[in-house]
Amino acid sequence: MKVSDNCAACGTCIAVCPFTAISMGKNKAEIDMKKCTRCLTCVKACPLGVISRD
Amino acid sequence: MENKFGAIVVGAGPAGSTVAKIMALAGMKVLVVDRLPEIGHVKRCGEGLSRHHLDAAGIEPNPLWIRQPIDGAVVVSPNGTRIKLEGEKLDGYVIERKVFDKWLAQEAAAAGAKIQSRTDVKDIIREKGKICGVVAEFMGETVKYYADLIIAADGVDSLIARKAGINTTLKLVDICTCAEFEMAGIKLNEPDKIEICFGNDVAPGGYAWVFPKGQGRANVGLGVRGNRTDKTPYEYLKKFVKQLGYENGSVIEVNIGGVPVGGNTSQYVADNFALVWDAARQVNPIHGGGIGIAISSARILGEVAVEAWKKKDFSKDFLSSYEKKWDEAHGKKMRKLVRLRKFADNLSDRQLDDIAKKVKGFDLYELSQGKFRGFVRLAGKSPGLVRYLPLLLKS
Repeated sequence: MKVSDNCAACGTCIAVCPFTAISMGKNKAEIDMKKCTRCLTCVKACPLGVISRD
Repeated sequence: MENKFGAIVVGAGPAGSTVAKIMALAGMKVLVVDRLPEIGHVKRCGEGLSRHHLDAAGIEPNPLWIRQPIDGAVVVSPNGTRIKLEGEKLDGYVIERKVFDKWLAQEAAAAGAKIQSRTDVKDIIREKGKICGVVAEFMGETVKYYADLIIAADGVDSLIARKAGINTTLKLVDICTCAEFEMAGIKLNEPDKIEICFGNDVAPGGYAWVFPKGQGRANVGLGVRGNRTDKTPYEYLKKFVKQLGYENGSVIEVNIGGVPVGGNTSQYVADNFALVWDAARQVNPIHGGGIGIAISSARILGEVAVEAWKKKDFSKDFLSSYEKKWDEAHGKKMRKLVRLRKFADNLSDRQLDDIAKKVKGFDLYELSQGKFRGFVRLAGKSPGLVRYLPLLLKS
């Protein structure tokens, strides 16, 4: 999964990730691929559509 | 020990600063940490605040952070029907969060709390399984702070709650994802009224707003629910701005954020730990407003925290009196408003227009406060609406 540089660090993806796979980095959200199941909930929640599958 | 405190509050927003101030005034040694380099900036908020919330908190409206007094609202249905809401209860302000938040933080500091910004909490520290502190990064170094009570006031994306064992994950239907432009150089038709627009074309699962900030400025934004649309709120916002005729206006701030609209999380205390405001999803599920409830919730928690400190008992059992007191103060209204939201989720644009034609501003206001009787009588006369009433009335 990829988080583009257009990420606003709003944290909505973190709030909805069922697997607690996302955390806030310095400037944008970071997805831990060890925990991510690619359920795409974050993709649907993101206000700017900055998350995508690799 | 300089890194040991009576309580650590993570997050110096209105809730964090308020709970810190109460604890500090009682004599507790309080640390407040915030990951932002500047407290209150960048806002994830429309900046609207009712007068009665300030009154309840004993806070005098202050010209430092008041931008525009508001004395009413205009609610717009999908087909453009406008319903005016006026009266004392609608009195409020559009404020400047970056000034307000810092002002509250200063108050907490003046009360004796120690606030440290640009401090990013990474994890909870446990000793023999017991929560006893936090690990954070501050100015390039890893630091550890210890306390008998950790309060998570760190917003909608709080991870500390989960690290403490409380699941606060939100379903898509329970979070409104929002995009907002703070605009300048625009002409406001009603500079002392907030405008709220509903409709599946405008803002599916949410609403669009114009919150005037005075001098040709306004927060223009909207929220949608991710389970109702594949488009982002930003795409809807561009359309809304054009619809308002503001496409040549200036955008002086871009705000993006998620607002919990599913009601408060059922558990918000654990041994040596408590959650407040967005982290606990203590937000109005109908209009997404939170500043008032933040201050109120923080006051309830602060008082319980002080009692716990005096009794040297920070167990989940003792702290659960915060949950009980919060429920007494806000629980019933919160549950009713969640039901109202679920009811409204089922309404088509046509049904919204139908309601807009029949309802008066007063009824709408009462509805937004969780008082359903007037509306139920109205809906009872409408065959299309009657079938959804059980959702509204079920307890």
